Parts: sequence; structure tokens; C-alpha cells
Amino acid sequence: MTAEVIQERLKPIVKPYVNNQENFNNLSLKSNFIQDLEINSANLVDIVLDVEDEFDIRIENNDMEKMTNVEATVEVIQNLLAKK
Amino acid sequence: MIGNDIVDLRLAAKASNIFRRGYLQKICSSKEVKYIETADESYLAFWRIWTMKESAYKAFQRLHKFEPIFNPFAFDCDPQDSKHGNVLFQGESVSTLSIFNEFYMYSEVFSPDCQQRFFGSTSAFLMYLKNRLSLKEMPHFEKSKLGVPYLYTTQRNFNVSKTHHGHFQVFQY
Repeated sequence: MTAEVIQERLKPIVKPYVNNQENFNNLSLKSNFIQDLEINSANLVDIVLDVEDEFDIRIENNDMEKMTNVEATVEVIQNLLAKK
Repeated sequence: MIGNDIVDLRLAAKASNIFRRGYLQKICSSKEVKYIETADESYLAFWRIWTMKESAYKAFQRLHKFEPIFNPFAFDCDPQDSKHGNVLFQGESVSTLSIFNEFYMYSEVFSPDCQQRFFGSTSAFLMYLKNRLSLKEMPHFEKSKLGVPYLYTTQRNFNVSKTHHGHFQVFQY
């Protein structure tokens, strides 16, 4: 799956937890979940669980730790999909 | 070592479903899950553990200057009583103090040099410090490259940990 496709599927997952709508409208690979989108850190866990369901993958803690921005998250998903 | 974290319990109840399947397991060890599940108020016990982890994360990130990470699982909590506890991270341990009521849960890393805390707005805190320390100018917040906050004045810098959630904001300094 290409990075673009993954990013598109990630958007609706992230959306309900976003507190900065303007930055979400200008979402890029560099967007940081906490600083830019102002997502509550307790909701990062929800994003990880929702990503697992959406892509049917299991995310371990060493991968979860990197998932602080769009680019790293797309990369984690892409790597896990490749291993399936 | 300073680090603090507050959770607005009413906001958290709306924003997070901590009892959804798999949620606790992403954050907590089996020992911590047991502590939460056997507590009289599991909901409070979870936010106690969460704020202990977050305050310890902030303290270790400030100390070791690492890039921001999201791995609450790596911070192993051992609550001693309703206030005191220890958090272990990569072989290093810090003590924490937790304070709570029906509105918030707050934890901070015990630090001999920074035992003061201020509940309130940023402007009120800066004004208070200026008067108390007889500073010539208003101090202001800066962030290090890694996002760690400190207070800047032309005379000296101060280590301050800051936490904000919903209606509550606390500074540890």
C-alpha cells in the first residue's frame, strides 16, 4: 500500500480526536499529533487501537513509541503491512 | 528532576474510554492493570497511574534530553499508598506525589529543589513569580529544541514544569 493511500485512510481515524481543526485541514506528513493537532495524549492510545482495527495489524510498544506524527505513523503501518 | 501532570476528570470522562478493549494493555503492565481493576474506583486508579507515568516521562525527558516519545508502557508504576509512589524507567527510579479530588488527578515527581507548585493561569503565575523574586522584568516561557519548557529572564533561567488539561493548570518549580 502506498504512503498516500495509508495517509488518506489515517485521516478519518485521527479526525475525532483533533483539537486544532485548522492544522487538521492543512494536514501534512510533518504534522505532529500533540503539538500541531493538539490531540490529547490519552487519545493517542485510541488512534493506535483504531489503526490496528483499520489495517488489521498489531502494533507493539517499540512501534507505538514512534507514532507521534503522520509521517512516522504511516511508516510504521507500511512496515507492518509489508510483514503480513 | 521535575515533571508534573494533571487530568481534568470530567473532561477525561468525555474524551477517553479507558475501558475499551485493549486500551489499558497498551499503557499498563499486568501488575498495573491488576492495581486498577482491583481498586475501589478503577477510573481514578487509572488516571493516578497515567499521571505518574506522564510526570516521570517529563522528568526523564528533561534530564536525559531525548526526543519526544509516546511509550507510557515503558514507565513502570509502583503506588505505595494513595499519595506516594515510584516510577521506574530504564533502570532509574523517581518518587512521585499524587493529589486528587473529585475534579482532578495530579501527580508530580518529587524534587528536593522544586517543591513549590502554583495552580492557575500563566499570567497569574508569571506575575506572582516576578513579585516574589523581585524580578525587574516579567519572566516568559521558552521551549528547548526538544519542547521542554523553562522560564527565561535576562538575569537567569528557571526550570519549570507545566501541565494543563481542561479547567486546570499547574506549574512545578
